[in-house]
Amino acid sequence: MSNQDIFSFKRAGKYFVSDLKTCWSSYGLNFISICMIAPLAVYLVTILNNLIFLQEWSGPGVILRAIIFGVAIVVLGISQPTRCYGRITEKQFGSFYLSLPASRLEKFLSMIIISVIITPLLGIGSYLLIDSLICLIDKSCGDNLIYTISNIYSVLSEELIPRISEAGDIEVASVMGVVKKLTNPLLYIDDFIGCILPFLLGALCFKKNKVVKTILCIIAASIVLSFATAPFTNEFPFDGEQMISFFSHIDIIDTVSDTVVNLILLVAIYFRIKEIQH
Amino acid sequence: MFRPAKTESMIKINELGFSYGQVRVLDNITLSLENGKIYGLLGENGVGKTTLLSLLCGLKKAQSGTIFIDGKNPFNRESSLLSDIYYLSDECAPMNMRARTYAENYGKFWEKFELAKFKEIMELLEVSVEQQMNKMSLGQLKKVYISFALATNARYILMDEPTNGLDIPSKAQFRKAVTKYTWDDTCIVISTHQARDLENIIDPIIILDKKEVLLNASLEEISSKLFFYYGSDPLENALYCEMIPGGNIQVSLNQSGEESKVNIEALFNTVHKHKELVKSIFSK
Repeated sequence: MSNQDIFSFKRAGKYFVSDLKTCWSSYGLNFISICMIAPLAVYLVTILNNLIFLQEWSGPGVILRAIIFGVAIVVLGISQPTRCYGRITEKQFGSFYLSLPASRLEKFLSMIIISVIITPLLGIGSYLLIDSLICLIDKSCGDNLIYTISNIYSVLSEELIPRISEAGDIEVASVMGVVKKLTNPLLYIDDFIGCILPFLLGALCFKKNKVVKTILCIIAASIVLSFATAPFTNEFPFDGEQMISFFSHIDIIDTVSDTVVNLILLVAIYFRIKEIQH
Repeated sequence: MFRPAKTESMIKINELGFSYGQVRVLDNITLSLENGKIYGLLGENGVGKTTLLSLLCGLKKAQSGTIFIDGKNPFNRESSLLSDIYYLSDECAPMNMRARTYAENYGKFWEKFELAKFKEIMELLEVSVEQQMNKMSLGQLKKVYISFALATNARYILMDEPTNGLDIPSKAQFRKAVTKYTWDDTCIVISTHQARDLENIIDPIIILDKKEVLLNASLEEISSKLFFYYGSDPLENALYCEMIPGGNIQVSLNQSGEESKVNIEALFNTVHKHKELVKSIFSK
């Protein structure tokens, strides 16, 4: 196999553009509904609800909007791979996909870039933009989500520091160090990728009920993993000092474990594309 | 139409085997398909015609034996080979886009694709390129894919039941398009149940039976070995006889060396009735 057969920038670019167009034609409407209409709908429903039942003009608070935002992004991460690439398991579309003259690597990279980078970035960006516009127009909604997410540490600090000081037996600085790490949004990027990849793999493996079967597989894998790691987790330090010492490395532990899982999933997706037959 | 010849360009199948679970569909199939010919792949339901085409275009992996197209294994799905193959499935995907957009979007992956040719064939087949594919009838959708297949200018065009869903005038237009818009070195394999739809364009003919190839011969070779008699007088030693309007069609061994027009349906039935005899006379 020549290098040109494995990867060509020109062909990969062409493939990526056509893949993006196909994804938009099959998922565009869902994307708009989840990332643009949902925040507006939440706002309008809350306003109407408050007008009818409380007779006051009051928009949705930041907690409600943050919860809906989280749900919307999870729905986006689950539904996009299924909707855009789930048809590969169907004979009609799958035959066409596999016989399209682009290499497996090009098809794989395009799939990953669209599902893991472009869709989440555009989705989160659009949602937060709409939310910011709503908050700009209607001050009754409070702070917008961008501000809230970027300032979550300071908000929590105000709440937590007095309580930790009252407890007295734990050092405030070390606890807040852990909180600072846990409230860093960047820590959750690999977790979010880890949410998307199993559904992408499920979309390529299961012919029907892709989401349900993927969830069942995740549950089964979690059970197996918890049994396998039980001997080690039983030794987990529950003493306050040791716990803080453990959590002070949470960013490294989380990043390493997520990277390992994500790499395994990426390899599985590549081999699924390589070996799929119709 | 001529284009520079490619060395080693042909399909070689050697002792190919494929099963679905415990059911053996293809067993020890050995075939060579040459460029510049339109092969008719005939066989009863379930003998493995679609499986064979899927194996040829790399959608399935050979479980035993080998397939080489231009010296490459199609299951490796090398893009250089894929751009020389077009597989028209019996089930066409109703994409959510216009036919023209589809051709513009995907045609560029086949190096020799011609958009103008696509539009010309679509015009011949009387389908608008501006129509949404997911709002087309089965026949119209088939025509889009037939036009696309021919416009790719691929060296190997594999068509599975291309005339299914086409009305009578469209079948004639299909035959015209296949003969007019293919290159002289294109190898076309057309699998069909409806032999009559493709009469006059397919040559050679491959008849597949359960697990094996019963016949792989050109029309010239067939007419040199079998005699097709159209008339009402009964032939002595007829291998097959069927009533048709105005008389009978009878098939017998060609002992006099006289030429006759091959009737594909009669040939198919003769081969099925006398499998071993036909295999033995064509293996000589």
